[in-house]
Amino acid sequence: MMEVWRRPGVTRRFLVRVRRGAPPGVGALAWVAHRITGLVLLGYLFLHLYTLGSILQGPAPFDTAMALMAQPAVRLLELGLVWVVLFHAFNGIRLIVLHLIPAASQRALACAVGAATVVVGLASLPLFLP
Amino acid sequence: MGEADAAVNDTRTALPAAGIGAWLGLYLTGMFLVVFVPAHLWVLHYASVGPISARAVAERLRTPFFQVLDLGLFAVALSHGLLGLRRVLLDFEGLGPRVQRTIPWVLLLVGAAIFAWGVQILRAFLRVAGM
Repeated sequence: MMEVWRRPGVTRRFLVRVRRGAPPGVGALAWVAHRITGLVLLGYLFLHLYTLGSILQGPAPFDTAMALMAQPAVRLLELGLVWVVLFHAFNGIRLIVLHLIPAASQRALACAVGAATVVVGLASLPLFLP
Repeated sequence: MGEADAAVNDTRTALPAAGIGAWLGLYLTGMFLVVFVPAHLWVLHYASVGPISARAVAERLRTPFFQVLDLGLFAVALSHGLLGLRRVLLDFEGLGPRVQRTIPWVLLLVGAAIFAWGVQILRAFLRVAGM
């Protein structure tokens, strides 16, 4: 609990090793995907706030913005976002499990994350299909 | 375990990058979001019918329950996102201790400004609701 400083440069060391031809395992791939989806979700949070911010110009501009959100193309992007959220959430649970049980199988946990993302993603399709 | 795994293996169980508080904050807000983001999506895509309108959102936000829930969810999601960004930024080598120490404060200021923006948006909805 005392040693809370991690050596920085995880991203660089990962890229160097991949460039050298070392195949990344499931744990490393999940780590990369978690980071990318996390940044995507932070970007979306700002976009979400930006579109909601149209209410500052009054109800009519807000309703116009929401009509745009109801377009099939935007709904399709939203569907993609749901899968990004699901992966990030299930992989986050994986990280907590790994922290509590360090000896847990990387492969089994990664498979569980993939399976949960696909199953819940497919089950929630009717809610989000354009 | 492959060689590339070794590079990220220390994120498996090590308490990452400077500060048990930030680490705990990331995990606790994450656990909160796992429950409340699906609830948020459920309310907006299942429990409510028809297109989203300013009137409908304002009507829902009349109740203190949704005011606290929405603002709380926003605060937690924003904190989680900025704590995650902090981790990404602190992973860059060669920043120097001064820059490293500054990053959390910059993120805190940015977060406070964005939260204030969110509060303004909530107030705009309450005005639409005639409150």
